[in-house]
Amino acid sequence: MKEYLYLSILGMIGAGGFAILFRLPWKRMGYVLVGAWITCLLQLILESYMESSFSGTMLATVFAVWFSEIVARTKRLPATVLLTPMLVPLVPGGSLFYTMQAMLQGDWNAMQESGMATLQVGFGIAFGSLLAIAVVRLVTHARLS
Amino acid sequence: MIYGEEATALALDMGRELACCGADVQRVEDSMTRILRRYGAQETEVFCIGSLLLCAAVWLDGSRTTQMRCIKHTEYDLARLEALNALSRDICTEPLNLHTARNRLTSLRTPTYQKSFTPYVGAAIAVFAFTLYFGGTLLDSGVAVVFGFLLQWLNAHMRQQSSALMRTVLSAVIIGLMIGICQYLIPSLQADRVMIGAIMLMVPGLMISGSIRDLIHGDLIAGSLKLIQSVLTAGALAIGLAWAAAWVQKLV
Repeated sequence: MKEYLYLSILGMIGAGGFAILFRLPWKRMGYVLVGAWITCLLQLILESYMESSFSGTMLATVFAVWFSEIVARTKRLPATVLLTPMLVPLVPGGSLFYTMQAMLQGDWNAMQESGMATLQVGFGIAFGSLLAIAVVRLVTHARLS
Repeated sequence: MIYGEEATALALDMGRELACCGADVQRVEDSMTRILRRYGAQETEVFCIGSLLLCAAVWLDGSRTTQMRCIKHTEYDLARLEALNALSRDICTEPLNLHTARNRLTSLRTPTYQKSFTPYVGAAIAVFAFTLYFGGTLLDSGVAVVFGFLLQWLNAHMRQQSSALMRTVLSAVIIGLMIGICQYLIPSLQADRVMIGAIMLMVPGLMISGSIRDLIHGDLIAGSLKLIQSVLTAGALAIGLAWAAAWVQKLV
């Protein structure tokens, strides 16, 4: 648990760095840091508990989307503003790098393994965000027209 | 008819600015549709893909307008995205005439002001944290921060001179070469951790997730284009790092 806390704090700091790069207004930084920390912690805990990158990432993304939607509706701002930097710690940067490295070395087994890990996390984020948005729309009856 | 053309142009310009700041396809299309409806469009057709916005509307007097815009460059600017969203909401909820809305939109066209050193601070924080996150030591993180600065500098100074893909290849070559040399000089350095931390600034991870989301959502063209772009960016990174690795092996 200690390690998860340490890693989630690092993920939160990294998300803060990206938030600065993405020109997030300073007054929104607190929400992003809290959201990114919980999202990252959830992903780490769920991934090890469920033994699946896809499920862990998907559920963490669901939390991130709901958190950003709630804050966005309270503060009247687009959820994307908070969600984009919050999702950065979930991004499969490491596995994508190892996929590319394995490809360059011609190690097809390693490439397949890390490529699958990258795709699992990518699909986890995508499915999680779509699932969470669908539930938000159901609950609020938000529809166009 | 002139009114319809102006309202269509306003909706498209708003959509283009939103897309340029990093808004997703659904938000862009939703904002444009709401603006057109607010100014009296009876029927609207809005279509957004990565680099193109198309919009057609039918107005009260039966006239039809069709316009398009190209999106040449996108870069996250969340402060501007928030301001544009506020303007979009004001247009839809307040009696804001076309002229006032156009003036407010024009004032939001320039990127949010940031002190010149601020992106470097952001890059340093991100690279430092993610190098540790991916298993690096404090030494690895310190070295990665230097390369984070360098990447940010390259990104800022090569923007006008080269395409995004060439910029990625060149940055990857330079970073790969320098990290290889650093590993030769400091044997305890974990080059792969430093590299992962530093290239987190260039890895198209968010784009890959966004493209899959668009594809699942049914925006097949927008999703496919984004996916191609992210695969090309990842490929450009791989090519750059491969060249660097080959040169380092010859040099060292």
